Amino acid sequence: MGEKTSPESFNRIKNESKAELSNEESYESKTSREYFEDWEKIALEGVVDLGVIKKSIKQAEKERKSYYERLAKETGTSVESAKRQLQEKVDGLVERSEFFVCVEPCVLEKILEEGRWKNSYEGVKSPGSRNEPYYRAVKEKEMFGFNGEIEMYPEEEYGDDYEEVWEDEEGEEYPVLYHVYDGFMIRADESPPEKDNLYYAHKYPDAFIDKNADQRPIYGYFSDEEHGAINSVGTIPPPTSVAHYGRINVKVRKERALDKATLSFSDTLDRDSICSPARKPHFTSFPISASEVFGEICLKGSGFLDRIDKTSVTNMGDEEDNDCIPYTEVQYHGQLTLGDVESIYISANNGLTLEEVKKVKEEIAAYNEKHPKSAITLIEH
Amino acid sequence: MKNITPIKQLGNSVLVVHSKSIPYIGKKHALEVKCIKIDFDLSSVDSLIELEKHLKFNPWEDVSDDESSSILRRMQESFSEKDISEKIAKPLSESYSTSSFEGLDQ
Repeated sequence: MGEKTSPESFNRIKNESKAELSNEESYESKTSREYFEDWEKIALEGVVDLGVIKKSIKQAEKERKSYYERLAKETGTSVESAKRQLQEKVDGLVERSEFFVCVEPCVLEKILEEGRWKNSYEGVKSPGSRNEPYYRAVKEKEMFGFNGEIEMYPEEEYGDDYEEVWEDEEGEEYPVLYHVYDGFMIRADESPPEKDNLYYAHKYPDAFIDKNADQRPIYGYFSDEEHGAINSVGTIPPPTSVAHYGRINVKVRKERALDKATLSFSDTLDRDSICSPARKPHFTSFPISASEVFGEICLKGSGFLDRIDKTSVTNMGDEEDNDCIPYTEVQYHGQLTLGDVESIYISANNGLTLEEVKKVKEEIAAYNEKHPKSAITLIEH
Repeated sequence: MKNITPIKQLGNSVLVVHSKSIPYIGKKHALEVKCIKIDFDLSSVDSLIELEKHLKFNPWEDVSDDESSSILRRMQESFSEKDISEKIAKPLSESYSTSSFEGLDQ
């Protein structure tokens, strides 16, 4: 005799089976059901698994149930209506925005030579530094399914303990015993401080970092300010909040960005970020919950949906500002090339020296002379 | 210069980290590894920030052992002892000492 099924479980199973029988997927809201109606038509360039993105969106909506209920309470409406309002807000904000990436003068110089942006995985030379980008590589696997087919080493590969034979200076062999914790090998004669922090990279084969390295996402931002301002006031000056990563703002042609980008209204290095296609942003890409890094701010006071209206005004971690979007991040997939660029914005008000402004102008002029068909416009402001 | 390690370079800029935080780069506590960007052209020292954020935005390249020594020498030539101590060593050290991996045996 099996376990007795509760009425709730029975109904859940019945509904799930019904959905399965009618080949219907279940959604948390009507807003999401409608959102995913033409999902199959979405095509993103690059190494992106849209199935992974869809799964993340659906999972996030489910996990954030209580936060959407709080949002509905704050806005004095139903949960469905709150989600719809949030979806409309997100659609409008992205529609009014342009897509940018910031670069330093020395990086732009290389891009003009090589024709495309590079990422830090392409600068990995030594085997040791393969360990360095694992944190983001794992995030990119979770967010986009990047190199998702490359499996972690199975724990059983080494068994619970693993012995290696080492040689001392005189060629004498001696055994070294390792304990294996969840795929991590830790020498038995060393104290394991934190098992999941050691040999992290050993969880994956080298191919996890090396494969498709030149196809890794290039990170930028979106903004509704014409020069690509993104800071607490939404103008330049002051310099953008991303100026320490790059003081030159490069605008990507919107149609190209929509073909190859995903986005989120938060920094994807922070927890809980959900990315959705730039052509079809989903409301879960907008952080509202207390579990998200800046989410609690958004829930303070009613009517925040009405107040937040500009993607160029961000707080980038300044928790005092309640009426800002935390950050607007774009991930360009399948390489970003000069062919995708519409214009380049340079200004001494964004931290460039007058010498650098002059040098960039000369470099772009030389590039355009060499490539007469180039449609890149240089704008000094 | 004790405990300051140049880890990445890009043009005339370098990222330096606290030497003891190197084993934690790219791992579980990656976001706690802070770095400071030094620009030799602009003679500027940025404030402390997560190393992962810099690595996300730009194609930073590895620093070899030889390059590391010459970068440290260049830092000494370009910045005063006081600046190195107050703007680089002190914030890196404070950040390391408040990280969750401080004191763990590697």
